[in-house]
Amino acid sequence: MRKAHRYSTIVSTLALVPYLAGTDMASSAPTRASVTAVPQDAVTIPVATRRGFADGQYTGATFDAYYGQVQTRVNIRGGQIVSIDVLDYPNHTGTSRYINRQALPMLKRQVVRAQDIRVNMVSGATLTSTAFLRSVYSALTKAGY
Amino acid sequence: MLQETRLIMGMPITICIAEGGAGARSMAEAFGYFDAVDRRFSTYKADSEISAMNAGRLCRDAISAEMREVLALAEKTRVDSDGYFDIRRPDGSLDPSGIVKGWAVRNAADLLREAGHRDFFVDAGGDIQADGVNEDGEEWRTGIRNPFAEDEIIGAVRLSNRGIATSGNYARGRHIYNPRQPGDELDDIVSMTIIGADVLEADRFATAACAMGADGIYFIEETAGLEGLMVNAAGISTQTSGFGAFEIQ
Repeated sequence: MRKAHRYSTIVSTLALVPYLAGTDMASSAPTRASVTAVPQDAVTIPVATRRGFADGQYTGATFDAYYGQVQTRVNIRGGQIVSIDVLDYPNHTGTSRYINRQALPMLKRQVVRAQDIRVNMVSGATLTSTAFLRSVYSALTKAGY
Repeated sequence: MLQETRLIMGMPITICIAEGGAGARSMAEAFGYFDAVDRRFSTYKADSEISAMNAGRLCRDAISAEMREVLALAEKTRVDSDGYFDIRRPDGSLDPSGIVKGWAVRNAADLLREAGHRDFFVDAGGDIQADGVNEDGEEWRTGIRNPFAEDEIIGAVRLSNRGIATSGNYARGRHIYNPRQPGDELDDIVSMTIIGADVLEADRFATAACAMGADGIYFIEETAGLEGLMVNAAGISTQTSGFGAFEIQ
């Protein structure tokens, strides 16, 4: 977990922002761009290390994700993004607990840590939510992006 | 081995055919299929079929067979998940993107099988169908991404003729990145990885279980044919009792 703080995930999300920046926000995210044709560093670094945003809190517009509404607020200090708050996120109407947990077996729990295992591919939640990116982008636009 | 990644539907889609050889044409067809799915189902394209439906420009009698199939799957998943999975938005419009990804990967895998391929995987943004074996003749070695660090994995599983999907819930917590308060929102689930008989099963249950929060893993434990691993915001993973059988130690 040494490297497992939340920064990387968000930085990689933000890495997609330039993709959106060049597109008409009312249309779709770009398609069919070859991933290998876009050096990851070239995409990531300008956003992750970018300075020069105007300090303050900037609230993005609300966008519809399949699981509900997503609205973000980007906090800028010292010209840099210090955090992103999710202001509006899915509230599930079902308040009843699905299962009485005490009736169930104890499942194996452990602290997650990075593993060094050779793999062919990786399953993970890609932060593809265009809704999330659009809201962040609209907030960053206000911050001088 | 033939492997290629393209960005379609706003996510990287990778197809790998272990035996390579005559796979280039099959691969092009499969990528073309994802393009077609994007054109039909993207809620961000004004001229997609789903946009036409939501704008009231298409009556229910006129919808395509593909759309009917996806809507039926969405309804099935809504029932299976006790209402947690629902493509209906508060404004009455429909957004089936939560199910289209797994459905499209399954169909692309079908295209590869019909072309005679046995050993391949199709990976759309981390939702994967893995068939046969890899180039070394082993079951496909599939990492599970660390939800807190994109370039790390927290474990790996062996898969063959199965699907795996991970649903993320980064939008559930209020502070999704706040290094000063690492203990925030401890009960929030940040990722739910499901192994199923195929990628569509894995995907629809990953989405539903993620929506259930911490109870989701118990729902998976109780559902036949599925195994899962959940990670909460405190960095604790919980896995179903059969998940270990797939793990690479």
